Amino acid sequence: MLFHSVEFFLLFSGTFIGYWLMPQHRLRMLWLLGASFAFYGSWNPWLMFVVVFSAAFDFLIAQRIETSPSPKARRLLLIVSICVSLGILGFFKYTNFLLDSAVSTFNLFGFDYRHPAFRIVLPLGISFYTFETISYVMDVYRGRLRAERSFMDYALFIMFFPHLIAGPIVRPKHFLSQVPRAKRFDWNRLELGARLFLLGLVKKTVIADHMPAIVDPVFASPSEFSTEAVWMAVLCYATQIYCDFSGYSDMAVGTAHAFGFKLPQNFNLPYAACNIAEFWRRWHISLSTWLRDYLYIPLGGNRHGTLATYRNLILTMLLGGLWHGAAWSFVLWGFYHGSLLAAHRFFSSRSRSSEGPFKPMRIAFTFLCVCIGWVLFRAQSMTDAWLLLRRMFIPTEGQMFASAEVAIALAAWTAVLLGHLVSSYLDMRSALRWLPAPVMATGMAVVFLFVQVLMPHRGGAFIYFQF
Amino acid sequence: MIYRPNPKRGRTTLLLMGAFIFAAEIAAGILIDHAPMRIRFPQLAQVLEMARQLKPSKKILFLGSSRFGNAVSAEAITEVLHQANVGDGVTVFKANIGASDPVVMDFETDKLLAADILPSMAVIEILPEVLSRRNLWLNFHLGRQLRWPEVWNALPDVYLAGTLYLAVTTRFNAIYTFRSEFQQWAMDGLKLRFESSNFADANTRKRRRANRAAPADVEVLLRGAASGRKNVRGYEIGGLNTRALIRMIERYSQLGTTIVFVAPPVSSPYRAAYGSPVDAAYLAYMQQLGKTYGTYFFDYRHRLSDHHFWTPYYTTTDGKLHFSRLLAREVIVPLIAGHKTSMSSRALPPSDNPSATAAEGQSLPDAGSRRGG
Repeated sequence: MLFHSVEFFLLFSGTFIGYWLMPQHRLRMLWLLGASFAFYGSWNPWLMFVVVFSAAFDFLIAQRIETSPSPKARRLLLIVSICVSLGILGFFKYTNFLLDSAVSTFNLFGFDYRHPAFRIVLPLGISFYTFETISYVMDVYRGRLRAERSFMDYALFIMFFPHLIAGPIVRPKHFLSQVPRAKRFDWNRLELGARLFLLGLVKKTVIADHMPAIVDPVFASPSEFSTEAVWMAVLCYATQIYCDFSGYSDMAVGTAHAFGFKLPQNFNLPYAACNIAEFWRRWHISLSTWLRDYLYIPLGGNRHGTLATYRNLILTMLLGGLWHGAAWSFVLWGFYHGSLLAAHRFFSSRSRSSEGPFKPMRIAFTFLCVCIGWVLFRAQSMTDAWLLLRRMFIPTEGQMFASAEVAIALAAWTAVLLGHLVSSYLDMRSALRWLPAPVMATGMAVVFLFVQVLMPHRGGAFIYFQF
Repeated sequence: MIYRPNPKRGRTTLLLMGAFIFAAEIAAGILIDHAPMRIRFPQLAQVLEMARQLKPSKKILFLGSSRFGNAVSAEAITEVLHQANVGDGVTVFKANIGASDPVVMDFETDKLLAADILPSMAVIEILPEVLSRRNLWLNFHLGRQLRWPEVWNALPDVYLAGTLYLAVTTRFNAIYTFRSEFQQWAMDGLKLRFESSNFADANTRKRRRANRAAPADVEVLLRGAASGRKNVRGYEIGGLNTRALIRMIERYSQLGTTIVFVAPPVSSPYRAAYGSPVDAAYLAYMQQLGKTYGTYFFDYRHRLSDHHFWTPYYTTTDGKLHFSRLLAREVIVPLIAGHKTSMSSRALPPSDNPSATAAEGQSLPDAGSRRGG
């Protein structure tokens, strides 16, 4: 059930009306939880048991951690919890990858070994909710959070349908504190939610969903395309992944507002970043901060010297890459970003501030580095990635796109560029507050109708659903 | 200036927005009925465009779905007509449209006649499923040709076909429903050309060509049995389809066009899926049509063996040529030559299929005699 589908519209409408008609707060939360189960169950009802098991296990462990007087026992419980959570994630996501890698290694040394192919269905959103349960148990272990007593509240933290499938990765403290708070219907907040949802819809359906026409052919057979076409495809992929994922996040945040919940911001004009560290402070913010707090800092962060800091940066990003998908290309992508972060750390102490006349050049250079990363991220194999990178930097003859694709690409790039420029210099939320209600309503209605006309015939699922 | 939040602002904005969107959707649902054919029904617009380019001649018009389009070769038929010395001044024109049934063919007939394209012979695809009251193609019709009043009249059929939801979205969400057509129209207007679809299409075309040449596996054909059974579930002749069929027959009859119904070849599992009761009702109905309107009916469903199919009902390239030549020799040449009584015996299929024999035996002499008379 995609956010931009009629099925979702019906589910949302029913949930929304029922939610605000209910007189009691607890009933509302139960209703929301029921809607979240219906949302997840619409994909595969059996896989709900995986989410419920994972949530229930960590719910109980957290309570035991809190009540356990012995630090050793607490530590042991934490390790068990993390092992179980990662074990479930590893089984569903990495079994075939690990077996394939083992087979490749055996074959490399001349052993003819094969393993049967396991048909494992990946539960949607498993990477996201696993991180949420881990952060909950770790926060309880560190004493930053009291273990939740109400399983319903805790289940809603994990299952709340706007963020369940592809984030933002919600912090337990941030969300659990909102659950018991009484909710009051607020038209202005609903309008804000509608605006965010509409913005996400535009990003996803008007921009991102048109990009595969340019991206897919090139990444499917890179050897057939010219340097210009490859550049066009890489830039379009950068546009697609940004608009697809940030569009999803905007819609999730907007939907949550309709129920009186606030989800964290996940993107903040990432392509306007002056350096790679800033890029990660602006891109998939909920993941990068999670990696920082629950991986980089526990690994030692920058507390044990320069080399250890570089090692921790690379290791964190490498695991972050692996989190995205079970393939060596994701590992390489993570390593690449880790190396860039290490390099940035090395040079940043020697360079000047990011403001000044060189700022556009810094932004352009950062964007170029990110685009090279996207090639690794999107390519179907390492060989393809290498071929694409060669074609990007060594002029090569080949097929080129026709006028329609060029027009679509230019329109999409212009929209993203304008969006970044305007939002960099203007607080849109404040500016829109001054618009009279009829003007705002007309604008929103026109945008909605515009979305309907420009939606492609076959809209794709969100890219991050596969992670 | 200090901003003071207005608590009513959100409500006014959202309610007004909802009202604007609702009004726009209703207006679009009405306006779409008057939209150019290239937006509403691009495939028909293409057919009409091709038909307008035909030279003045006696036209043999083939109306039907993609199945008929796949089974009929205009070149092969023309060649047989010339061999039989009846091909001079005759143009074979394939006006088939994907997912076409009598409702579409009736609509197409309207447009063709309005464009002064009057055929001397109309060869019309007819299979049991396209006479069913449970119209399998209604989901296409709602978008392509039915207007507001027709949708109202068709509501019982719409309900029966399980397309009520689609009827609602087509009428109340026309902007979304017709977005692809709007986009294509805009692209054409701006003279923008797509290349990426060609990359994909080239592969699809290559695959289709390869598929069309090779006969289907037994499993593929057997899957056809399931789809065949589904198509005639709760079979009852009537509804929109038969009303449209009769309207079309009456119009062609008034204009003196020879009407020839042909049941195109299908694979044996697909054929078997019809079952005796469906076949009996279908053949009786075709016989009745012949008696009432003097139309011809030829049942070619069993005339090709299974190795002539690449799907349960799409013929291979060889199958297409074979069927086209058979149809031309056994039906079209005699009809053009005016040997209507003698052709009936030549057109009779082998008697291994009782339903086919019954069809020929019942419909041909009647039709032939009335036409001949």
